[in-house]
Amino acid sequence: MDRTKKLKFIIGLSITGLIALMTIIGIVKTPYDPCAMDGAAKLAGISLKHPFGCDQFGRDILSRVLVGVRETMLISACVVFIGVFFGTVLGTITGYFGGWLDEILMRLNDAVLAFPSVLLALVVIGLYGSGRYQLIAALGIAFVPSFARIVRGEVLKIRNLDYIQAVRLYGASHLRIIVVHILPNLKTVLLSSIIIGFNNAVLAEAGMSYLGMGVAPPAPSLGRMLSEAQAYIFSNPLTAIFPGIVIVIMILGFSLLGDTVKKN
Amino acid sequence: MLKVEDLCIKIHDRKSTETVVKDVDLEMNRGDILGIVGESGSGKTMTALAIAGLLSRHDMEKSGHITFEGINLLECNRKVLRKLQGYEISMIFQEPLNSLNPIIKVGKQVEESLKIHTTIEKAERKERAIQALRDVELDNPEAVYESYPHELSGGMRQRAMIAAAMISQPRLLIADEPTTALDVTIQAQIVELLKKINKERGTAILFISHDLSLVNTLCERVLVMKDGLVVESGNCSDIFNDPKEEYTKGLIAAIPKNPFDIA
Amino acid sequence: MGNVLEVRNLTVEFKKNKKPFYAVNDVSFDVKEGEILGLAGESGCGKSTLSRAILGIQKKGVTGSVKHYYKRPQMVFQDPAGSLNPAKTIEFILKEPITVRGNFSKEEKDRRVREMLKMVDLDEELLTRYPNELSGGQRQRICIAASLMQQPRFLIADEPVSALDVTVQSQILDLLRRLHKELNLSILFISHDLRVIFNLCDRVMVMKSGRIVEMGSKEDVYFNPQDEYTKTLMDAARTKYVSK
Repeated sequence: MDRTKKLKFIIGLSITGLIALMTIIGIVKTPYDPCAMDGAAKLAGISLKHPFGCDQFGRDILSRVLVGVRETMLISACVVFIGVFFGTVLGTITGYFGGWLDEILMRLNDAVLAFPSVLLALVVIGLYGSGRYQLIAALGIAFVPSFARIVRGEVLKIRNLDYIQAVRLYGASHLRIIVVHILPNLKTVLLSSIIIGFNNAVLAEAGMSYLGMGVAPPAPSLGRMLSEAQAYIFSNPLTAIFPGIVIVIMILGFSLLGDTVKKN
Repeated sequence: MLKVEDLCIKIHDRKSTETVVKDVDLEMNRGDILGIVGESGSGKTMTALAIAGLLSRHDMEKSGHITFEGINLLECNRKVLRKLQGYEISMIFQEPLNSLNPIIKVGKQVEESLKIHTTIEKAERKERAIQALRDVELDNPEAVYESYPHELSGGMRQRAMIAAAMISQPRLLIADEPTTALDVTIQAQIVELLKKINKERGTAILFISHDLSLVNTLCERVLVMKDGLVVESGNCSDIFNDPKEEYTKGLIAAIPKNPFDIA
Repeated sequence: MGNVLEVRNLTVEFKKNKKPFYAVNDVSFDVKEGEILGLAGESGCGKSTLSRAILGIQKKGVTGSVKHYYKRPQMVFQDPAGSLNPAKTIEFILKEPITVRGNFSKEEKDRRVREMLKMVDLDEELLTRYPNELSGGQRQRICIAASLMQQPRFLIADEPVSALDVTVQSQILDLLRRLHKELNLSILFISHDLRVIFNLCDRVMVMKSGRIVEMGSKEDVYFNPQDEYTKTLMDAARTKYVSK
């Protein structure tokens, strides 16, 4: 049991490391301009020049995948950050103080939670147009409730523990109790939910851009690469395979990592 | 009836191996009440679980002999062990709320061992279960039979556990801190009940506790355990009045002075 | 001798299935300066709710009056594992009471923490450790030390030794007794163990179903109980503790 866990951890970590590396390359420099079209290389196969081949406009798939990974990672990171930040603030306040504030905020939370996140994103995009920032805002809002719920549950548990009562008897302020005594104890719970949340964010981002609601073309994104490749799936499967594989690997890496962190 | 020789239990934890029970010997005859006393981590519960045959985890290594009515429990095959478990050897635990299944009626759990080990008919099983509940001095045993564990108080649950353990008329009852989670008034009642069972049915009782004064009221002989070793054993009153080992002396000195002994 | 605490007609009401349930029912008593008052009772009798109501941790459904004659009464809890923050070092935990209250320089805080550690017989090297690295007895000593950092005059000890082994129990009780003398500390000592209460306390109260059913000197309560419940309690204790 211990061994499989270790193995999971190592595999998860190396995949995540690989993704991180791809992100960095995506930020620094890709082999080709991901948007540069090369008429001669339309739907080119695997070659030394284009290791992943080229798409229907002759754009280098490797470069597009790298930039796509970068996009996905940055968007997911922002989404998770928004979710964790507001989720923690909301969850801590409601869990700690309780009462009518808790009642109202948690009902609101439930309402958002009950709303499918894709639908919510559609509404935001419908109102403000599609694009990177709209997507981050839409998904971020959709991610807040689940984090808020987790944090609230944990805070509810911790605030009734004896050590919080003791600190209260010393005369510590609510702010100090929350920041100094409760928040550090959320670390473990938050870490695993951040990894799982990241996973969901990657999937959601890919899904949204597949539906054409992510970054505006011609900028590359993994989801849209998949949807564009649909037309060529039988004639030239390379255009779909590489972005697809990268998405699967990303999810796998985070899941494995999340699994090992969760139990500890 | 029960003989334990050189019992050692080692727990393998990733790198280190910890010996939790070292060379424990003990012997019990029919109708004996033997106490094992020790502080937490002394290995008293491990010893009891080994005798009950409840230790078979992979990361654990057992050596020595546990002989019950001529059968070596550590080496006999699973089938033989299963026959003894819960039928000839029964066990009750510290927290009666955790040792009863919350979603099954108490009565069904009391008759469980008859269902597993005998071919007695359903109607008779129920009758026997109600009789067992009556034997542990529960008022209105029919109602208790039909209730769920959470509907009973702590003392009633522990009585029901004893009924479940005693329904098969076992020769050995292992009681692991059976009164620790209960209030004083209930504790006294449970101890009286165990005494009665021992006297009327001749069931041998292995009584495990950290409470020396309790062991002293119930048991004839006692083992004192520390860090997996038996540091002292013998007649209860001898050990109480004239402890040989430093550890036992410390343990006895630590008991809060009894107001009623002074009086 | 004056009082450190006066409790008058204290009632704590909970709603249980819409029916009112009195966890504490019309309780009145005083704690005198420099005494250890014992509160005996079985589980669910309302001991812990009473102590929480006295300290103002429990506010909902509380009526009656609680008058403290000294500021900031403190409490020592039953489970020493749960009463120390697992994410903080011992040093932080001990400094917290004087960080929150009072304006002390870092040196002054250090000095006080060291003094307090000496008082509860613990080594200074524990300061950098975390609670889960200590034994149960050490943890309970830390809890007691932390509760005394603000130099309170009145302390509630809610089953402080129930989760500990006998040998450790007696050490902690000795410590409490010594601190009581040295600091002239008044203690409300809550326990279900009648022997412990008899050995430590001057006066005893017996609580049942939210009410104080008997109160008096320990000799009176133990050897000449008036109330029916106290009688059964003492009888049970007698069968349990007295050797054959």
